[in-house]
Amino acid sequence: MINSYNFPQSDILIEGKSLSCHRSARLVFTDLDFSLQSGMAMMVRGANGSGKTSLLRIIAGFLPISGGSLKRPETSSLYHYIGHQNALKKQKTVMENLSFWATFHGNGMSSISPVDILQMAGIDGLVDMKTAALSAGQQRRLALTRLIAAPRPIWLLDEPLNGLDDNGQDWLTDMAQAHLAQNGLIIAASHEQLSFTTHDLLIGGVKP
Amino acid sequence: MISFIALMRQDVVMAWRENSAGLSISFFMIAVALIPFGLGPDLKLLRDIAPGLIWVALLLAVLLSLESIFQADLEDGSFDQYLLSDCPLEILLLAKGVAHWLGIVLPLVLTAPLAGLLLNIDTPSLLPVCLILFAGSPAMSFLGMMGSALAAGVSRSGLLAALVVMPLYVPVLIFGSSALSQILNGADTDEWLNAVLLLLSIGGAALFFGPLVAAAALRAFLK
Repeated sequence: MINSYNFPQSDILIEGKSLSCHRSARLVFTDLDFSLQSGMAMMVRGANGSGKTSLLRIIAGFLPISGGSLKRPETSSLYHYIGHQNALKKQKTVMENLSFWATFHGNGMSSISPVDILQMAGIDGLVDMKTAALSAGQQRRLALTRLIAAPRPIWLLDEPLNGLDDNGQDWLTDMAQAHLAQNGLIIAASHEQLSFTTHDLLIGGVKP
Repeated sequence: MISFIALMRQDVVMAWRENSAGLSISFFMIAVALIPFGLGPDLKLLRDIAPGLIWVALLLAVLLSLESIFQADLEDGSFDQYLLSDCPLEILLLAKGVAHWLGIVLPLVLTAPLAGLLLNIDTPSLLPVCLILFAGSPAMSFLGMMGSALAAGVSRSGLLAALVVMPLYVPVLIFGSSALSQILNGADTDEWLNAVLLLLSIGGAALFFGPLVAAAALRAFLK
C-alpha cells in the first residue's frame, strides 16, 4: 500500500473535442480528441515539438486553447503538474524542499511522514543534503515525491521518466497504479512506454 | 493561509541563502562609503547631500535585488506550482512582496544608521532618519515587484526591471529626501510627519496594486 487516501471526486472527466493549439502564431496541433475519467491513465506520444507539453499545460489551465472545446475541472488544486523543471530550490536541503511543497500544496495532508516518503523514493539517505548536490535522477525522484506528499486526483506528468533508473521507474509505476486504483487520473507525456497507462493519444500523426 | 506563510518563509530564507540580501546591503554600504572619497573631506557638504544620497543609494540597492523576486521561480518551475495552489496568485504574490520586504528591504533600512554615520549625520537624528526610510520601504518592495514582473522572462531581466521601476520610485525619492533634509535641519516632528504619512500611503497603494499588476503581467507572460 503506497498511500491511503481516496478521492471523493470520483466522477472527474477530462474531455477534449477537436482541440487545437497555437503558440506564437504557429499551429502546434489540431483536431485532438480524447476523453478520460477517474481511474484512467493516458499516455501522450508524439515527435519532438508536436505539442505534448503544450497539451499538458492546456489541461493544467496554464495555456488557453485556440480551437475546439475542453471539459476539465476548473479547481486548480485538483491538479499535480510535474514538468521538465523540477520546481526545487537548489540551496535548500532535500527535506526542506519536500516539506515546503507538502505544506504549500498539502490541503489534503498526506497520511505518511516526509521521512517515509523519501524512503519510498529511495533518497532517504540524502535528507540533509543540499539539493544542488543531487544527481539529475535523484532530483527527479524528489520532484515526484510531491505526488504523494500532497494527494491530488489529477496527475499531469511531462516526461516523468527523465533521469530515472530502472528502480525509480518501478517506483513511479507502483505509485501510479496505486493512484489509479484509488480513482485518480493520470495524463503523461513520454517517449518511453509507460506500463501503467490504459489509453494512448498520438499527436502529430507520427506512426509509432 | 498556510500556503501564504510557507511561501513567505521560503522567500525570506532564500533571500539570505542566495545572498541577495547580503549583496544589496554590501552595495548600499560601499556606495555610501565611496562618496566621501570622491568629494573630499568636507563635512558640511557631506551632511548637506546626505538626504538625497542615502535615498538614491538605498533605491539602487533595492533595484539590484529585484531580479531575484520572480526569475528563479520562473526558471525552476516553481511558478507553475503557484498556479496550481488553491490560494489565488495575487495573494501568493503579496506573500512574495512581504518576503522581499522582510528579507531584503528591512535589513537595508536597519543598516542605514551606519551609513548615516559615514555621512556625518549627528546621532540624535539617526532614529528619525531610520523612521523615514522605514516609511518608504514598503513602497520600494511593492513598486519594485511590478517592474520585476513586467520584465520577467527577458534575459537580463534585472536591468530591464530597474529601468521600469526607476520612474516609479521618483515620488518616494522626492518626499523621502525632502523629509530627511527637514530632519537634518532641525525641523519639528509634525513638519516631517506629513512626509511619513505620504510615504506610507504610497506604500499602501503599492501594496494593493503591486500584486494585482504583477499577477496580470506574469499571467500574460506565461500565455
